[in-house]
Amino acid sequence: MVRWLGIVLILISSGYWGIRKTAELRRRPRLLKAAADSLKLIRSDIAFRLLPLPDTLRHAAQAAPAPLRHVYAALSEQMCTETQPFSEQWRAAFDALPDFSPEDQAALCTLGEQLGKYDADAQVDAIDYCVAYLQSAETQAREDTARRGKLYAGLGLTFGLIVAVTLY
Amino acid sequence: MLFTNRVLDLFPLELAGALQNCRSDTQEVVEEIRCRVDRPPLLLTQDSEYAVSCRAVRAGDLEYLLERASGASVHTVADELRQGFLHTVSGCRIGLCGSAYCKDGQVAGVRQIASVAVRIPHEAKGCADAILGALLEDGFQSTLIVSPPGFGKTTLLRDIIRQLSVRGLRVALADERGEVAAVYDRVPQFDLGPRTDVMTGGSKAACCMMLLRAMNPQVLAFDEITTPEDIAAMEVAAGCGVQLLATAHALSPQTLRQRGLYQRLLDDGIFRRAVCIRRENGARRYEVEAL
Repeated sequence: MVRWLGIVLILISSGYWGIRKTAELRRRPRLLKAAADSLKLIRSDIAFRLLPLPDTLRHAAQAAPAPLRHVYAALSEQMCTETQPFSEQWRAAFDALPDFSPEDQAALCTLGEQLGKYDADAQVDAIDYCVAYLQSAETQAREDTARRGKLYAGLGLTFGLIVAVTLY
Repeated sequence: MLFTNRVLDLFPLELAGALQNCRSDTQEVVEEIRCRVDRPPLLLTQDSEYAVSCRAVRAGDLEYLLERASGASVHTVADELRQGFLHTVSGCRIGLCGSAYCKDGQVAGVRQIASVAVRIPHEAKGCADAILGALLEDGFQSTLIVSPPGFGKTTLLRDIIRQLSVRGLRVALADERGEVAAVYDRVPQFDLGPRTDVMTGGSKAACCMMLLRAMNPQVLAFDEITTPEDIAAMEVAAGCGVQLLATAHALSPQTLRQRGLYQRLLDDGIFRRAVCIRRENGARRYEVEAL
């Protein structure tokens, strides 16, 4: 009885490992999509409403899911209180999100160097460029997730079975 | 040195510290800060100019200043930038010099900023007290404030507007460059009185017509008459029975009359009074004359 319980626990934990790895993989494309969507909102606010950047970020915070919501809300507050250049505040905020790859962060940081510094048309161009990258990265990340997700789930269960058989 | 209007917030910390520490033995009020790339900053007071002992200004310092002044939102001040300046929340006026670029044949903005002139306005409530009696004798009549640049015409204009407004007159101000009222988020940063309406941006002539039609003013105020369109607008306003209050660069009304642009204005008797600002021994003196 105890032996069977042990086998079940090993299978559950290894299967859980596989599921967790898959869930981790899925976080990046979701975050990339949310970032692209929020940048499109920022783009509209700059292009059509000429909103100041703090207000634009506050608006984006209301619409974005976590963790982007917290990033935008914090940035809109910090812009009014901190003396650091905005591009550095933006960089620090996105560097703190572990689910973005180094390439994702580089694209976002490049955008941060341009937000608020140029006229509306130039900023819109910069945002469009970044959104194009994020959407492309999201597509690739989803394909990667589909491929590797099955692999990890399978590996987890297989590993669990091997361990269970070896032990018993 | 005394810095007002939170002007030091516009500068990187290192530079702001150097500015703050310049000539700390004197209580002179800083009226302007000039920064040029590869040169140390200059501080201008009413009577003097001081070079700040610190490192040379860098291009990044001016970019930082532009970011702070615009709230990291250059796209919201594009109209002002096209004219080569912008205003801060606290009312400072920043003139920009650099590489102008064009779009559709017109200047669209300034890139690669090489120098800035930060003008710090001052509110001097009560500076018009000594002349207000003369201005209100037989009721307020169209008045022109005249002096060379930098003598305080805008400061005096601001206080006269406030005092007229407090005394019950409806005043409408066409604040083309935003220097008089320093409006931020719909609210003037300077006290212009309870009965003053402010229109910012746009040409004075166009705003004058809008204010006449929409706000039913008793007094129409402007800063710096500079174009034939401004004068034409004033003629229309005067024809509607509105009193005018404006400023002009000149040593005196007599020298103003020698300039073709103003000759018509003065010959037509649109302005009944002039206030001449003179400087003697470091102090300002206001003289009211009949025109």
